[in-house]
Amino acid sequence: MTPSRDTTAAVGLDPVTLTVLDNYLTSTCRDMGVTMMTTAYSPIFNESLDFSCVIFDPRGQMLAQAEFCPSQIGTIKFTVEWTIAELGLEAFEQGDVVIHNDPYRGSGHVPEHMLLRPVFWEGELVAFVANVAHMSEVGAKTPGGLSGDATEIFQEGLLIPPVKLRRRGEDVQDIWKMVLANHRTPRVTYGDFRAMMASLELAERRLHSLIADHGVDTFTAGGDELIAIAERRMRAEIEEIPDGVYFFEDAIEDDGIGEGSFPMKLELTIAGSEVIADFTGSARQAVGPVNAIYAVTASAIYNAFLHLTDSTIPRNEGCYRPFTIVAPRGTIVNCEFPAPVAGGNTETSPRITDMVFGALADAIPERVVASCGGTSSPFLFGGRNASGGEPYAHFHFEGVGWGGRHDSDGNDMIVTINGNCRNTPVEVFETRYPAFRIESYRLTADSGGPGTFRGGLGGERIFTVTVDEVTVGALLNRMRADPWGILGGGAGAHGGLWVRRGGNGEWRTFVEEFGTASPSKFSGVMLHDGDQVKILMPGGGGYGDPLERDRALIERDLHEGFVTIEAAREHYGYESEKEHSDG
Amino acid sequence: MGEWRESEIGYLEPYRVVCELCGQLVPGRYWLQTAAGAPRVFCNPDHAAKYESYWLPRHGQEEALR
Repeated sequence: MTPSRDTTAAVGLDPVTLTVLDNYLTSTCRDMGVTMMTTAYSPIFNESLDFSCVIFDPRGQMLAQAEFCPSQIGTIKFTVEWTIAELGLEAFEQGDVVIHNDPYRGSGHVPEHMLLRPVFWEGELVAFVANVAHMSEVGAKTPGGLSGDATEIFQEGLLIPPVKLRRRGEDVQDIWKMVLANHRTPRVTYGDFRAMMASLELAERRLHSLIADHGVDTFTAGGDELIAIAERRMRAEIEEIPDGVYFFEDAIEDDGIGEGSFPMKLELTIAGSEVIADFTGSARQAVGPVNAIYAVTASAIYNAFLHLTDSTIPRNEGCYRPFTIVAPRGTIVNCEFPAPVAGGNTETSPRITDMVFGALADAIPERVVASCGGTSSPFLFGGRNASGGEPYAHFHFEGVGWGGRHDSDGNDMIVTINGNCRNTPVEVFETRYPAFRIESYRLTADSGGPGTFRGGLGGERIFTVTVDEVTVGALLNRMRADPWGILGGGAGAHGGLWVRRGGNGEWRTFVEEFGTASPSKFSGVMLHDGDQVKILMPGGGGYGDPLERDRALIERDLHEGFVTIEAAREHYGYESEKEHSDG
Repeated sequence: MGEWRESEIGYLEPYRVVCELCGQLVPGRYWLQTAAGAPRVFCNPDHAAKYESYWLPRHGQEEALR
């Protein structure tokens, strides 16, 4: 049913009511997430929290979000817009749930499935509640999706255009059958979808309760007012950035298929309260899966500015209105069908966000950070458990060092800036995926770029295969190019990925051992009992001149083992008390 | 001046209605406006305006030389 209400009608909302409304909607999103975390089947939901929950008005305008995955939150705006455009508002009925994951219809990449539920009040459509979540298995060419050597999107999993998974409160069995027949781990997919649906039902109940208490006019007009407030406040923040045209260039180092890197060029125009992020001149789209679709590129820009601006601005549609993103078709930042896109959302997205910080380093040095490790470090695997033959598949990701900032060192081993996810604890990992044993998991000394405030540390993890065979894949970046520092800070250490057959001998790259085209982007490699894999996660770039670093911080780092004495001497000119007195 | 148009999102071939300014696939409803001597598709009137105020001065000449 098309909404007929005049949502701009003034109903005399006071600031207190608006604050209550905003907090209620935000906490509803948070509770949706708790529902998913506690009821889903897969660790990527329970532990990693690779999902987001959002509320929209009937026009597809985002009303509220919470502290979920930034790349998903920015992208879902496009996913919902497309869903409404393709289906039409008239198609939605009480009790429906729509599913959608097609990147060429506004989704981020194939594993991220959006579920959307219309919310009615007295027969009138008043809102949409939605969540988007990364499914650990989607029927791609390799278990766990994210095929590092895919050359078209059809190798990245089952594409689902907006269709109803539930109609008027009843499951649409044909869709369930179709989807589950295409996933290697249907039981897990089933459980995770049910968790997402439970989250939507909770949100519907919460909105009904809100409207029952405050009235539908307050809800609809309040939503419009919150959007207007967010836009005003975001524009005011942008106006504080000096007008100008700012540039930055970075590159994706390889696409898993061929030689050569893929430059990305950003020209950022700040004019009053408007921002134009222009990627003209960026590389043509890659053959391999490092392409970002438009929604991912836009989301990465939004993410950067949400980091740069006041965190108390209501997080809704209004935050996004000051931005225009120019991303030429057929480039790595806006690829054309049927280019593969899996790594665009995991690898290219954080680089785009970092490029904004790099561009604005001189303009607003007190707000920006140096480059983070810039990879989600996707390591994919799957197989069948020995007992009972139950299939398993997993998308494992790692943290990285974050960039130093004007008043503190970067965070150590936090999931990259587009993710805001958590790592999976070793105990949970080994319990759920007995194909591997974790031999070690530690921070890497000297991996943070030197600076007045150094980059956060990257880390290292070593897995040992404990089953007859397991299929693995990878889609990592920053294996060759170091995460850059800013304002005189040095680069962080890049990452790496190696294998050791039978747990003996030298660590070798996957290129050396298996002849993969890329050392860090491949799929379908079979490992066997006793084989080991080592992932080295990049550190963050440093901020400011290392020679200006506080001596007490250097000594703390030495004491903690974060920096070696050799690096302290080389980068910071450090001399111990004895050296100092002898000298 | 321009006008809103509707495009159907089918399933027999890829959808290709693209905004001339931003490069985004424009789902369903799009804005058609003559700019630089030709009818062009945009997300909305704001993008049509930015095409003339930003894109043409910034990139129009390079594009014409291509």
